[in-house]
Amino acid sequence: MVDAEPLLDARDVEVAPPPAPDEATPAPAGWRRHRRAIAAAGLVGGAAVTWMGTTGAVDLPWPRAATVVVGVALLLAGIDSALKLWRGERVQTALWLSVAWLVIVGAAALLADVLPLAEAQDPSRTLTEPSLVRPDLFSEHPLGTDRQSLDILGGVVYGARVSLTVGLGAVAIGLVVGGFLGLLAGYYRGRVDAVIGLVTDALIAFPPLILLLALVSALEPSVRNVTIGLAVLSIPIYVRLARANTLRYAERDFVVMARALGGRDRRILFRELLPNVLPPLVSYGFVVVAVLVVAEASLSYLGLSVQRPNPTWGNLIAAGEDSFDRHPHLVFAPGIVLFLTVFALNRVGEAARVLWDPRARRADGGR
Amino acid sequence: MGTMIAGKLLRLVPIVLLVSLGSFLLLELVPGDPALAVLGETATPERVAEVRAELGLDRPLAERYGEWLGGVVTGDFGRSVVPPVQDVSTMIAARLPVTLEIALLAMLMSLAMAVPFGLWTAHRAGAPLDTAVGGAAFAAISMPSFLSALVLVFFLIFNRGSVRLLVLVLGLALAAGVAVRAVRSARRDGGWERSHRLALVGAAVAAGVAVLLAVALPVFPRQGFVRITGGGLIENLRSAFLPALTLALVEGAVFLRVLRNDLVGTLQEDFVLAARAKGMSTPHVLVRDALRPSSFSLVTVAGVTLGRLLGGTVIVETVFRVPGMGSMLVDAIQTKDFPVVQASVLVLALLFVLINTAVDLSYAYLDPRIRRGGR
Amino acid sequence: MAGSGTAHLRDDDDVLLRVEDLVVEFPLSRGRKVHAVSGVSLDVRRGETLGVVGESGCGKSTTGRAILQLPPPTSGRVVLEGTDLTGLSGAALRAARDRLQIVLQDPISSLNPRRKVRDVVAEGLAIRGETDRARVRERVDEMLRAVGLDPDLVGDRRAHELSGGQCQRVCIARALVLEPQVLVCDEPVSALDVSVQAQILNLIEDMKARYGLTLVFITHDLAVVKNVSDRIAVMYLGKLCEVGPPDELFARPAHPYTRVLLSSIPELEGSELDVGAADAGELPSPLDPPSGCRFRTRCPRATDRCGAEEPQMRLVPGNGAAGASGHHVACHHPMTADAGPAGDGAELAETGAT
Repeated sequence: MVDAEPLLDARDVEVAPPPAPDEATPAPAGWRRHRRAIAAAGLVGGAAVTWMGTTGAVDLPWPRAATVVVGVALLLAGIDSALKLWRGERVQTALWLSVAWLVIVGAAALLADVLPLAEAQDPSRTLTEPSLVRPDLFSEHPLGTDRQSLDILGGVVYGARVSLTVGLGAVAIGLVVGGFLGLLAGYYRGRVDAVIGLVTDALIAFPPLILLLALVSALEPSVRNVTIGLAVLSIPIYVRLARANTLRYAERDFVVMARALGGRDRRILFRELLPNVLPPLVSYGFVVVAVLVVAEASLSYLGLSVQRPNPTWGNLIAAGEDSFDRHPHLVFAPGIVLFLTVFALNRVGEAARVLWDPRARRADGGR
Repeated sequence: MGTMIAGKLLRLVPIVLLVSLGSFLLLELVPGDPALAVLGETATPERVAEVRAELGLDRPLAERYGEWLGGVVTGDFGRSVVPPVQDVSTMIAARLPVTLEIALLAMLMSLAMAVPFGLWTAHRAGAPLDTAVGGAAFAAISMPSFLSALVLVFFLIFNRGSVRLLVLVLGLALAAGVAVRAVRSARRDGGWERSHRLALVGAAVAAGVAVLLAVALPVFPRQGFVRITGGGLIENLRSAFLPALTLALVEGAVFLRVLRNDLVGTLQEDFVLAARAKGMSTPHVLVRDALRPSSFSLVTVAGVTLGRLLGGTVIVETVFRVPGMGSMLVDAIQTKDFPVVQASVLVLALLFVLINTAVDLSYAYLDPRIRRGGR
Repeated sequence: MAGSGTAHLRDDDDVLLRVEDLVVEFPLSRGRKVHAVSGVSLDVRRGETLGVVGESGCGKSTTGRAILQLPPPTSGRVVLEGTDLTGLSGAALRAARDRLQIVLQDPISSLNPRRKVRDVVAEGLAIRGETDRARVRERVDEMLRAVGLDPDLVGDRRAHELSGGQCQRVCIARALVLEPQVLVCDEPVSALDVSVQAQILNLIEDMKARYGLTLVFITHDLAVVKNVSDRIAVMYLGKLCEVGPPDELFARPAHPYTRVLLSSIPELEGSELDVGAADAGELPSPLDPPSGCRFRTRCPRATDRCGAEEPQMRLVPGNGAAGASGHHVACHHPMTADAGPAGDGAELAETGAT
């Protein structure tokens, strides 16, 4: 306010912003010089330590867990350095790992029937197997067995099949139905928009999980019905997304031109607008699949989705919950797989939106 | 603006009607005879007829809906069909406050986590801490809430001793590391500047918090809920803490991301640069100039979050066996107690709608552009 | 100015396109509406170029689009070779659009960002039902070459890979591939760099000669319109002010608004015009246009009569030459030759005050 004051404070500003290296973890410049060494040490050392931790060379629970954590951390550092050596410093390691993880989970779900997995569904065939075996990555039961001696890895793989079928199926239905309705609403506006908007608002008026619970409460919990329930959940999302994107393009001159050339509504909707509206919808699909996988897992955790003995990630975790203070792997093995899958879907989804959705690109991938 | 509020409230009417119709029609989705679904295949014909009458299945649909809606308006949701038979309104009256308490608590906790971290990471956008917090928030968002609930149970209840030790060791190590760095850089720069002193204070605080947590980490119950009237405020909060924390982890992460991105944008605005140029201190700029415009999007997200928390409580109430609306709904679904399912779905959805409308209205009130346009 | 009437319409067989009393209104909430075009009548002879000028917001683009029924006008007639397009719908209208095409202002927005140049140009043929792929491709490539593009080079590109000028060439090719009789050019160069504008104008002239086109050329740029037009119509706030041949109109503008427009041309010919700056007043809202003559709120010569009575189109009084050239004006107090030629703004205001 007074002229002299800013002078005084200006010094303060100069002092304040640059400092505080207190939180700064290792300086990147130093690390960069040793990429090769870190990559080699991380990959080899990490693998070795992880192996040590899982085989039970150390046999106390906490040291063992710590060994695995250290091993995995080393391994990740090694992979990060190796990728940076290969693709340059700006490589997004988390994205690469996410894609790799999704490929692994997808392949496992696809090939579940031909993979050499131990019995995971029928307790009458595991009577001679040991029960509650702890995970050991290089044994017959890599993720251990449960109370009924069923193989956890097998359960997780078959669970992946349910999660992915349900998630992808529901998104496909939601994309087609919701995308179509949103396209109509955004193009015709007026009364069509009002009716579709009202129904969409009514669907969104239910908290998502409550809507899902309400739907499955009335129907039999089968893969088909859960897929339908999840699709109902995703339809309003897609209606809104498709409508907003259609509105952006429907006012453009190329739509006017298509009409000037004598194009009918159907042609304008599907040939002119759809190709522009579809990419952002599809790129958003990853995130929606992630949301739906969580919803399905929550549902089966509550015992309202696909029932035992058919394994899902949610019902595996629910089954292991009773004794997981003593046998944490019953919860953590499927739990970590579930978490990693959702994380990978979100990460890939974010990248896809930056790539294909002009609005997300402008916002610099934020939100 | 008055007409806008009226318009929004008017739009509520068809939506509320559709929501009530949807909740009511749930019963119609049930394949076969709902009465048989309630009682199972072995029920006697007399009992089936009784339940059919109770559900009103012997009357036309429209008449039943009218009667049900009339009951809902007067607060009468009918009676449960599965023993113990009681008034659904009584059940809701007992359980709704529990759910609301957990949702509100979760909301406060997520704000308490998100605002300081949001301010700090926006201020230091691109710094290692920003990257780390951002990564952690991303991971938290990818965590299904039943899973984070079980993780919390595992560490804070089953392995409380180890966690106390771990907190102590890590906290002291962090504090020592920060202190050593500060001393070194002070020696290198040849003097104690404000930043170095701040770092030392930070180290001391970290050490203090670590020690405090290690010594006085409360014991949380694995399950159950203590009402204020039943065991006092402390016991009540202790039983609500873990369910609320579970929800707050995810919602706080959502908050944090929104707030940080918003703030990063605001901090680049001319008026913030002007405030800095005028020599305002960093905390002053962050809180007074940057946070205030961002609080607008914060309110929006907070409202949406509160709505979502209503759904989220279903999970944590089940994990922690808390007698709220969510666990009542899940139990009712499992026992096919349809009147209870319909009533709780309707109540939760109506709450959700009301909160969202309130957010919409406050949005209009807070956004200066809309306010000016309306007056 | 800014009046109605049809006195300026010509009554000979050579008129290809005739617009009578065109009205376009856009409804808003609470019964209000935008009066975008209010009773505009125009005609174009075969092979003629009609220039339509006016400042932005005067309804000239809406007029151009309404001629193509995009959207159909609220009332009025658009007669193409004896057929009233406003009465047509469905298939008949789509067929009629073959003969009537348009080029819009923003070439980038006019092209679907997801489609390749060849598909864009072929679109009209596809809609018309041409199925012979080889023939369509041949026709498209020929058209691209005609507008100065190498089909092998740009044929498989998309809009964002082309410059603004190239995009406008594609738009022209797309319009002409249907061999229309009338081409409406709605500000075809104003979104382009000055250096490219002349090229596109030359291209349009070439195309006109080559395909025997009849042009409706809509622009805010008087310098452009003077060079290309056979006849010029000046619009203000949804109404016509003055119609006449360019030489006549530029030498002896009869309407005060035309005078204002002309006086806003900087000495340097061909540079960008800023019509509004030369004027004291703001453009009135088309939501609630002034009564009588719509220009009276900004007109230095306005009298009570201008507010009470809407001026009709009439022949500019004066010598016989002006009458023969078809110079019409809609003004109660036109600036005729006797009022003193080519006065500047200050003189104009004086005359009006007395």
